[in-house]
Amino acid sequence: MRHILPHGPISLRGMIIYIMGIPLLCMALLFIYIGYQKARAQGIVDLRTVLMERTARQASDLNLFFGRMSRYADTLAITLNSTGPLEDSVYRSLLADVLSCDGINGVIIAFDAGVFPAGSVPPSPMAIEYGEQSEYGIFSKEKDYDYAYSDWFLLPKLAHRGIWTDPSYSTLQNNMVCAYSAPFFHNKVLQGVVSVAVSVEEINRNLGTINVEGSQLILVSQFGTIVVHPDSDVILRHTLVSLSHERASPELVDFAYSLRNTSTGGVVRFDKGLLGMNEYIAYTPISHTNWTLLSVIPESVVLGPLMQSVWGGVYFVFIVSGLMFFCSYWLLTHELVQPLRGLQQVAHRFAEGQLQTQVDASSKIYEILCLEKAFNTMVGQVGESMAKEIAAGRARSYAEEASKAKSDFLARMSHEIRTPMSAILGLTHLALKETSPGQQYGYLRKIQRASKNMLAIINDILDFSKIEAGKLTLEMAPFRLEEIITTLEDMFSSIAEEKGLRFLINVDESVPLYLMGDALRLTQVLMNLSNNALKFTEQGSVTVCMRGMCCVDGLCMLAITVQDTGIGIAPEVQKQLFSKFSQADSSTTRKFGGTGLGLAICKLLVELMGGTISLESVVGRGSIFRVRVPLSCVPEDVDVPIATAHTPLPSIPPSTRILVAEDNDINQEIIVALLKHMGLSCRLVSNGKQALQALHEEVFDIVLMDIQMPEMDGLSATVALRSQHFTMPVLAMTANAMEEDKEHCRAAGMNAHIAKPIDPDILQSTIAFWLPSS
Amino acid sequence: MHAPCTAEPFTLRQEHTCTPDTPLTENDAAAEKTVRILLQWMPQAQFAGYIMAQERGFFAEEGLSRVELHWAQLGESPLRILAKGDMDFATAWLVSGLQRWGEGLPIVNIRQFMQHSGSVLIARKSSNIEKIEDLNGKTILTWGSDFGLEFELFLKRNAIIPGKVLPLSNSLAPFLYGLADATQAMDYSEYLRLLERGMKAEEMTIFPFAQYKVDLAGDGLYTRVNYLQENRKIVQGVLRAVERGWDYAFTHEDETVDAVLCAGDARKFRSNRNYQLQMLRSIRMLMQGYDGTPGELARKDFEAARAAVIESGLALHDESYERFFQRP
Repeated sequence: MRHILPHGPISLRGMIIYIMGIPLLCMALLFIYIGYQKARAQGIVDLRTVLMERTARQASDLNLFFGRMSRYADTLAITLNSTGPLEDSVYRSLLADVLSCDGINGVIIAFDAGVFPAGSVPPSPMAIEYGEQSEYGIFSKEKDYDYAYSDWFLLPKLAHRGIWTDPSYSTLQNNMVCAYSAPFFHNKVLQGVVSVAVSVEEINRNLGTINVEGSQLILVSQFGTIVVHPDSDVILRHTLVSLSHERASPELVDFAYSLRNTSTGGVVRFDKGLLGMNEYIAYTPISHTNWTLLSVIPESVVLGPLMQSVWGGVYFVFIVSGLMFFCSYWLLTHELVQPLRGLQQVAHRFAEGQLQTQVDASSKIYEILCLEKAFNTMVGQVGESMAKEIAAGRARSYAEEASKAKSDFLARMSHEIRTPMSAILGLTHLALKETSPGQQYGYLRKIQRASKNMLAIINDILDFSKIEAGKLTLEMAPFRLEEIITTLEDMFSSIAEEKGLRFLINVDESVPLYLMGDALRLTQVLMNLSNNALKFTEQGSVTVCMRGMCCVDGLCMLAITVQDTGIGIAPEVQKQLFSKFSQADSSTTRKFGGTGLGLAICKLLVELMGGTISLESVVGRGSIFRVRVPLSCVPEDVDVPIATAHTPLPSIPPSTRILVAEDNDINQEIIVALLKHMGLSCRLVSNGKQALQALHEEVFDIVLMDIQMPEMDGLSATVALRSQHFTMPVLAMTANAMEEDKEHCRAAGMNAHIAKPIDPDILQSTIAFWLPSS
Repeated sequence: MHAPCTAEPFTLRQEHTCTPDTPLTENDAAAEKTVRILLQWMPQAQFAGYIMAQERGFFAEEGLSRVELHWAQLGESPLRILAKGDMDFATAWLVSGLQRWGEGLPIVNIRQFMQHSGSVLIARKSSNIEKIEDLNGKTILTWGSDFGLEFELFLKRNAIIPGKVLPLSNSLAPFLYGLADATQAMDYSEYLRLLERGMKAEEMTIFPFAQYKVDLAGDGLYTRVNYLQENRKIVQGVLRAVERGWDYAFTHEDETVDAVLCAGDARKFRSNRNYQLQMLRSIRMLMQGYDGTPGELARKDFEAARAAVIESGLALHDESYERFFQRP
């Protein structure tokens, strides 16, 4: 599926994807974005509120704790005010009271230098917790260190007020501690300092555990020293300022500086905060110590769960929009693209020539449906007119082909007829000029041969026309195959001999003696094939074989092959060999003569008999024509008439009175001469009218009637004479040799039909047959 | 964050033993003898040369397998401790050294590493201190002890009469708490510390002593006179190792800062990288921004210090440059 055609127009599917997919995707993303932003904003507001509230509460708790711690020291300092040196046991008791207070890790009463004379009283009693135990002792410069320069002593001494010191590492307590120290006086002279130590662990404990989940607490002293931090390595190493510098965040540095002067809390956001990430920082000052409690929460802690729900939303939105997209995509492609594809395919088929093709006009979209219908109408109309055009073109080309074939045929016939005709005319001319009867006889023999040739040609044409016109009817009469064989032998043996060829006829035993069918036409087929074979064979032999096949139930398939050793027929010519008006080529006609109708007639005749004809041929080696004709077997006891051909012509009594109606002078002369040869005489008239008149004048035994005559034609005359009750036989004598002509003759009342040119033998036998006496 | 301290920083480094060139007998003696060096403050970049000499095994390469670095506590004089024999070497400003030597302590300057002290006076602008004379009548903090002389000379030469002079703790807390208007400080150390603790540069007025008539040399290394006489090879070894340590420190800042932070952590003196790095670079300026022979105590510096001491009203029992500064 290509949505974008390279360097071409975008496909409709691609367009649908773009038009629908992109806005849908954008909408989904916008929806998610807005949802996320809203949830984020609300989440942050909630976070800020709760973070601030919790931090303030924790700072408040811590403030109370620091207040309590400082009160212990202040109370002790007040106790010590205005008292001179006390008994060691009193100091011990005072310190034990303070140390027993919850949260105090150590307490010291540090006297200022010079308060006691050196060596009189141990200067600074102290009590320190060691785990579960506490220890009382005396702080001495020699044993411990000189606290004169320590903040916890120096600051309240200089300030004359109680002060919380920055936490530091106490070697005394081996711990990180911060201290609250309060000075005490005697007669307004500073005597020393009461200092209570609170460990960072204790401070941590008092922060409680109410901080927001995921947040980190950072506690900074008033000068920014980090006292509590999730990363213990930062504690006391960094101040808020130095840590901010290390985070390379100028905003954070500014914030760190600003905390020094802040008296109220707040929430701020940093891209790079104290933990080195996107953070929200809530801060609340602790008034007792001027410290600040910071609550840091990475934005990811807030956004993490938010993102989870956002992702849920994203999946939902994507699934829904994906489903919407695919449904719409499916619908649009199904309803839009597929019909268009259908139209495209039909258009292709139409272009390829399938003019009847149509689109299935079933779209649910009105416009597409209209388009499909309009397309179908267009295809129908265009297809119809194209089909007509094609048919007309085809018919035209058929007609042209047929016309051309006929023209060729006519030209060839003209040539075929002219050839013997010119021979006849030439020889006639010579015969007329010749005085020697011997020479004249020779010329006339040749004239006769040429005439017979011409007649054969004309007969072929007639046969073909008859068959073509469906006018040929086959006879169904019993015959002896032997007679056909004899005819063939009579006709072709001598011709073959003349050419130096062998003409053989083999008849298989399987062939029945008697068969039922049209012997004349079968003979015609065999003669035609044999004649062809001999014509195209220069040496070797022509063999006719006959076999009977499947002779059962009175039916026999007569299989005939006519094999020659002649020039053969090229394969491309074989196909058209049996078609009308064709010889292998026109040069064949010139060389071998013939109309080229012979094989076409054979084929038509064989097919008329219900048989088949086929051909095998190899150029230069010869051809085999195979004919199969189904014929009925006739039992041998049936009386089969012997062909008349071999019976002697019946004699006609010379007294026979014959009327001849013939308009043509030459024909008149011929018929008179022919009758004279038979020993007969006749009365000659030139038309039907004269014939009728003659009948009224004389009595005739028989009438020979031409058909086409001036004034009254033969048919009208016959009708007239029959109407006048003349019953003598009337024999038609005409060149109209077609079957329908014969029909017309019979209908007019004629008895028989003698075709022109008149065969003397047929004339004699026909007259003899119809004479009333016979 | 600095790299975590994995090894105890100030213990013997076994892998560095002795240099083969050192004569065997003295080398044996040196190897067995513990050499104690007292540095006048907490572990920080100010002493990077010593720390790196120890870290990189330069002492050991000098045949000194047992060198200990000790850190002074505020209020005690490192030079007195040295003179008592509790230490073998100690660092001190030139003026302090001269002062103690002048008092008759049997000490001798064997190397003057810093030709300037880096001492400054930092004042709050909020106390209306913009000019030097504004310091008059103000409360000023000072460390006193060995560091006090320079401060007093600064006041004297600039004719300042403070309202009150109070002691300064090492955390600078009195100044931060606003208990004073000005404080003594080192520009490579306390000034940075104030910045870290929330004071802005524009809130402070800085008076570098060098620009206010008190240009005295800074840290030098001292030993006892008789120790030098008896252990000349050791002294030479220590000096060579420390000089190599400084060279190494200045060319390997990150590694040096890590080592310094480790040393500080071991003493529960926590600081951060940036602080120590700034300090290391400042110290380098103090040591290398000098036109004389490095490590040599210039006679003019000696004279300036001597004049300062005498001006402070202290008597010097000996004023010989040759006896105060001796090349081992």
